[in-house]
Amino acid sequence: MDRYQSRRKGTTTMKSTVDHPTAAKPFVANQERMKWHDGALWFVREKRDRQAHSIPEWEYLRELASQTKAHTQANLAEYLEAFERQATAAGAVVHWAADAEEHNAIVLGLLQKNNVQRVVKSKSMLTEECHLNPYLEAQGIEVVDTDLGERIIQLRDEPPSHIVLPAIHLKKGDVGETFHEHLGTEKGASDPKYLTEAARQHLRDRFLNAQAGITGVNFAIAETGGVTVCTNEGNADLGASLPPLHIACMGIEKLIPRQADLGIFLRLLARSATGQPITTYSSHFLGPREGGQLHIVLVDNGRSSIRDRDEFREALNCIRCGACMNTCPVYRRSGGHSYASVVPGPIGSVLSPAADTEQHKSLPFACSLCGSCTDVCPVKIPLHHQLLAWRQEIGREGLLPVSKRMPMKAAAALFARPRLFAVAGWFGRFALRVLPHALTHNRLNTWAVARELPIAPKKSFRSWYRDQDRPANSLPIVTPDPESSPTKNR
Amino acid sequence: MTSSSRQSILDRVRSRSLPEAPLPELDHDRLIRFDDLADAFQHSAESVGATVIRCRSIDEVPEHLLKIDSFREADEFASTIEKIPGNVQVSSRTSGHDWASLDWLLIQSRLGVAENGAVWVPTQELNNRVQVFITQHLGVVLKAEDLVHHMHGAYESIGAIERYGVFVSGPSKTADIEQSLVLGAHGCRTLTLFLLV
Ligand code: SF4
Repeated sequence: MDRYQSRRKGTTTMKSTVDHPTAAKPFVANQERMKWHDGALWFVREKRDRQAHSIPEWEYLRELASQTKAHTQANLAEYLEAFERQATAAGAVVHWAADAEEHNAIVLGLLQKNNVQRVVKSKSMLTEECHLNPYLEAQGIEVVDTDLGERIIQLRDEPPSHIVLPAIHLKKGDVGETFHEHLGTEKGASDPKYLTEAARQHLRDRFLNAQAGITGVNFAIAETGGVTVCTNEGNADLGASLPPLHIACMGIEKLIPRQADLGIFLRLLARSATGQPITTYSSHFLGPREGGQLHIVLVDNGRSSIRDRDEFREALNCIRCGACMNTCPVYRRSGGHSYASVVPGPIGSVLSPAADTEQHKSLPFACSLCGSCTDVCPVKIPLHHQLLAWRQEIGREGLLPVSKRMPMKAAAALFARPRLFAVAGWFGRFALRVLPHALTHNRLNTWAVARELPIAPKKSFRSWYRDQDRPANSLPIVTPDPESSPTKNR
Repeated sequence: MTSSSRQSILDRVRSRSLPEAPLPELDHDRLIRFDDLADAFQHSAESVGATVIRCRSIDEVPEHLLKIDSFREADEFASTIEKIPGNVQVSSRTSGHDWASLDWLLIQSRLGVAENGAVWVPTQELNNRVQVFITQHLGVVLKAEDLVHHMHGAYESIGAIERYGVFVSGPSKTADIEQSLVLGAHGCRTLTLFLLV
């Protein structure tokens, strides 16, 4: 099995349809670990809350961020051109890639032209999205991921399970084993300090021997042609400052108009991501360093088609902070790999179906519509509304499985006819009392796997309500006439 | 190939025009202000793992340096501050790799941010930009009068960036192993801020 496939082992296959509940099974099976994962992410969410509350203008900042992004989207072509002009004037070379293949070909071309065999890469969800690593490795180029979490999963041949905390699905014992096998740390050692030190030594060596550094981009500034990269570890800067060649890869949605706008976004990003007031390093690159080269690759890969769609456009405002994942009750309990896509969680469940609806059609349903993601999102993406919109769209496209389609139809018919609904209620209460457990709890009904049916009340809510003693002039009970119900008119 | 993609991406974006959305202007009255900038800065910097030492003048810095274990044990000490020279020959180090053995670096910053403890380090303050990241320990001298409240104030004071600049807030860190915070990931293991008040 080549690495292209094996890297995807945690996500099952990338091509066929992935059913979220099925993909989540192995994760959910380990109760103890699931609980730990749930708690660890909630801890990050709480840190985020503390940071957000420490800034009285938090809501104002979110508003500014959302307006700034909307403005940029409306004038995207002009800002892209301005960025290219300014970056070029500063000495960088700007490349344009319509899709992942072209992005990979551009990067490979640059590396080959400069005779590069060894590359250090800092965390970039875009290069992950384009599957750049396996592509370069197939050409004999060594790519070392230098973010600690990324390096851990690279050694384990797994995909990231979170966009900010790529190895959050692992315990320190797992990391200890991996490092023992690959870096020669002591067997059984699992102290995070010891393991981090081992990685520091190992990667220092890689930094010093690399011939090129690839980084992602957090923000690109149209006004100046500069790019800003945020890390806590300092890996992006070592990778961009030691080798003579720096390649920065970015989606076209990373643009912001002015340098001053960074003030808004840097205040929001780290607070939302890890509950820090700002990342340890926020680096501003404007052109290449002396004697070096800076190449910037602008990538579309489906972004312009999301921009075309009113109901999903705002998803492009995402600054990849991960807050929506940390707060999501489904993500926290099912793990990032169950989403089988580079970006998991709420925002991933919006973006992935845009890339391939059939393949990712189960994701918008892996959501309780609690709306917590929308509440925490620093750029105010209406995530749960978008997830609902996807459900409708997937229904319209006829992509729903029969197990979802039939009951939905039946429910719709029922709610449209109140009298039938009353009869069904009686039947339901009867059924809850008499149905054998085996009939409801079988492998056809996945819903019942971890749930029990409620005890049926003796009478319906309607008859209970009728029997209550009410003040004389209580409101009359109105039973809508089925012929004039609004559902009927649609 | 690239240029045709350039045109097709721009055409595609232009083919869908969106309702005009104005670029918001910042209302400064709605932003946080601290009563005591030095206190707020110190509090923020310490919360991200930095050590803050208050001095009355730059002349006090050396005596504080000598109290720091990692400084006394350092073989290589580089400094860009004239009054406190390092012990390495800067002119002999032409490439970033030459700085790999650096133990201690002392630099100056002319901008600190109270809300997050960050200090601004532009290329002009360094011999080579890799110094900030490759050194084992970093010390930064900053005047309290150069503190601003928040990032908006910071960008106003920065103006045009010459090639490169970085905000540094605390020492390098990671929590990628089971969410336990470890200082000294790839960059400096400790950050000491000498705040001249
Ligand atoms: S959608 Fe919002 S909360 Fe989620 S990662 Fe993006 S910016 Fe953060």
